[in-house]
Amino acid sequence: MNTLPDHRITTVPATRGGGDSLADILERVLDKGIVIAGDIAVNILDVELLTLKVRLLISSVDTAREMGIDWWSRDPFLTGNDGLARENRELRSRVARLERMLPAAPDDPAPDLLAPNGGADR
Amino acid sequence: MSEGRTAWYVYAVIDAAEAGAVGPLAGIDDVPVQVVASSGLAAVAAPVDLAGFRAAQDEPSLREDGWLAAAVRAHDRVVEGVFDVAPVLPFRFGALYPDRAGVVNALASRCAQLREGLRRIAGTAEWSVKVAGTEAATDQEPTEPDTVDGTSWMLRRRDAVRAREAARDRWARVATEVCDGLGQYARETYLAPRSPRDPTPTIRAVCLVGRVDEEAFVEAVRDLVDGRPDDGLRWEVSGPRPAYHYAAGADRG
Repeated sequence: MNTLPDHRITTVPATRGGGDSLADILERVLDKGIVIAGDIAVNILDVELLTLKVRLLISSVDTAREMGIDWWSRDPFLTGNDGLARENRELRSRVARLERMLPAAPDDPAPDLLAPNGGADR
Repeated sequence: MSEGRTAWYVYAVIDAAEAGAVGPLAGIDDVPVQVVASSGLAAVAAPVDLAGFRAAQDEPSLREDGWLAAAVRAHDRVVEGVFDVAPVLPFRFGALYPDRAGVVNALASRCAQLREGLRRIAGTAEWSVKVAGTEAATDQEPTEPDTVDGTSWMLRRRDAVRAREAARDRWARVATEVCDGLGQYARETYLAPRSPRDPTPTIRAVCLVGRVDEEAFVEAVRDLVDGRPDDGLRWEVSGPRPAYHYAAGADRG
């Protein structure tokens, strides 16, 4: 690809071997690309490595934030929200099962507290 | 207890039929990559010494001369090297498996998704189109003089809000023009959010472009720029690159 800039446009061939800034590379390799969640080597060697990926990145959080990279704050695998959501679902279904086993109690306000959002949307 | 222990690091996945095309590539710590084939797929992978990853945990930052920066660059280099010879699904940095069998299992367990991902990016490359404004970001509140009466304060606030809205509308129009203008040659377009690294308002469109359409795509960008009034925007088109932005969807859904 030729570089043929006129006064308003620049064409930049993809660089090889160190032409990109570290920030450019981080944006690609830390923020993009396939993640097979849960396949990080959680069983190898010792507990320290359970959180290898998290630790690698947390140690660099400030640098990364300055670069506008903050995907881990939304990554369910890293934030643990995925597990919480699953646990939540499981608890809800257990509660529902238990409720069905109880005699009907229409005046009891307790079930409302168990609605999604704790009934806060009413 | 485990100094010197190794794990297997996966850089990318390709179709097993392309495995022979991957030449010698040096990965993290200069360990040559290997091709691990299973289920019709092939992982570009290598054993890595975990000591480096451990040490990286203690690094205070991503220093340019640190191990982590070198490892990140190695990851990028390997994926680019594979991209030169075969359609490639890049993995995100940090995919570690206990051993070679773990890599084989990962390929087998995600076979359908990885195949779908490879189908999506087959014969394509990523191109990025960046449109940068010249004006400084207008996110900050203007500094107020010490003494100002209520009415002029309100008027100034109103003008500032209107200016921000006008700027937002203008950028939305440019983004639409980019997507519409390149739609013919871009199979898919992703508008990346503005990065704090951009000193001025910036649009970044990441397009998945067929290799056969690359010249036409660049021409389309040129036409798009030439067809607009000279409004001080700087345009930059760069590529081709491995489809990092379009690989994640294969697994994230």
